[in-house]
Amino acid sequence: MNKEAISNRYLHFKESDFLTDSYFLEWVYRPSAELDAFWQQVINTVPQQKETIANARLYLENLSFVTHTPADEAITASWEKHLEQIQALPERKPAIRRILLRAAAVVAGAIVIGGTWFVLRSGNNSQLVARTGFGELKQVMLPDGSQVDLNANSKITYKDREVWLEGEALFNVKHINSKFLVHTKGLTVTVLGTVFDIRQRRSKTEIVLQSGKIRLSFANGREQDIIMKPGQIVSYNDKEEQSVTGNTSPEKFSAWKNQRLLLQDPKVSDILIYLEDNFGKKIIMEDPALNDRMVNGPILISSLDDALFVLSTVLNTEVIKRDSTTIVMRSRSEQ
Amino acid sequence: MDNPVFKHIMNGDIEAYSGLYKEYYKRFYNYGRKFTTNTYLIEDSIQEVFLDLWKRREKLSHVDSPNFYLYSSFRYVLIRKIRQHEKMVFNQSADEDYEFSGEHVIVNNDLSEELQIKLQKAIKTLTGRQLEAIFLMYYEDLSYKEVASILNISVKATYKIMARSLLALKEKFTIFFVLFFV
Repeated sequence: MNKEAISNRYLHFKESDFLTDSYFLEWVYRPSAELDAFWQQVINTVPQQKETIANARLYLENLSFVTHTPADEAITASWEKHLEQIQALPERKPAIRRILLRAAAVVAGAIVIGGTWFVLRSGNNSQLVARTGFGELKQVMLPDGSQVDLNANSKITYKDREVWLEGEALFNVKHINSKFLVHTKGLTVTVLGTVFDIRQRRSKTEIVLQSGKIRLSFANGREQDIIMKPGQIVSYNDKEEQSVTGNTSPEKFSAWKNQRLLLQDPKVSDILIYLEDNFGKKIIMEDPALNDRMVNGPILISSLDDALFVLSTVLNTEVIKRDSTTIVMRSRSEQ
Repeated sequence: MDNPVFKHIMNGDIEAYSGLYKEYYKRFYNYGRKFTTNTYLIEDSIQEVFLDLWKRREKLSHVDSPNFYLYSSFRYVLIRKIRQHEKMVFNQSADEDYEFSGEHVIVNNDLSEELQIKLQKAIKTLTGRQLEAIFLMYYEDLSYKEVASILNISVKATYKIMARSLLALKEKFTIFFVLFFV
């Protein structure tokens, strides 16, 4: 640009005009020797604009924006999800698939052992979530072929042979040459091919092994790992951080699967806690003495009404629905 | 085709693609958060833009500026998703305009307190689009033309927006400039 052209263009520029000038913006934000030279020439040609140019610079230099930074885990998780999506797309060229496989091994390597990733992949999402409402049971077939019976008011999240459990579930784990892990509040079960039940309610987790072999590891780091044998029950209280090992009947423990409740030496209070956890109602026993009574034999738990009917018949109480969330059991009068 | 990474993607190179994805994830997250705090919508939009990019990777040779291509796709998808979401949750009309939020503008705190207050006030007079134009041009390596296209306005209008926004700033600052430069 010659002197005349510069003068014509910039002589009457205001600050705002400079700030809409791409040469000017580039000079401030992406400086280069060429831009320096050009703007020095402008200042020399129209010295009366020196101040306006300084002002415009100051505007730009003191304005910025908050930077929002995503968590690294969010970026990685998003990429992995995307990678699975593009891998689930119909193929076009075999060459691309080979590259995908190699890259997938790199990305998923931290979590997955060997090349099992593609075998396990079922849908578009690596993470599966299954949950049940109060009073609802569900059977879930996991992508690796393992089966899970989910008791009421429970949730599992599954990814690559790792399960996070809230509530209770009966696992029938497909035995393949890779570990299967179940995490609950306070402990992890490592499965070596097997059927077992985990009941994690309030501060207590109970594990009952039906068949096969599992190892329990505790999050607190103080308890030693326990290798369980079939028929054993381990009960862990994560408030007291203590585990107790005993024997039980796995079939009875998991009778909920067939909508029966069969607790070992069940006190009325234990049964009521179980019903509260699985049906989401508060149950109040008016006569506290009844709480310590034992009730043997299966209780039908296909619905809360059924269960309470059985209990109230045995205990000679009536069932009063106080409001939508609270049920009161009151002893019938003697006459 | 100015971006070598794009070339790799056209050839199906996952490693190059992973790098591109993660880089743009950060940038779109930052950009998207200026419109919404709902990070799920941002995540969904990024997924959609890149899924579409991948599906079309063999036809990308016509794309001159990958940066521009990605930004315009992302903005379009995100605004659509915000609209759908707001309509579903709050029953807002679909025509509502969802704008870049001015609350994320920072004034350099090396400036005197008096000056900072003046600059803050000036910023409040700018519209979302005016701020967004500045944001995209200054921070995201896009040209005037590209910004205009992303914001779906003519180049002329972009100049006007820039001019108007900076004029508004200038008026607020007149006193300051008198003090400072005279």
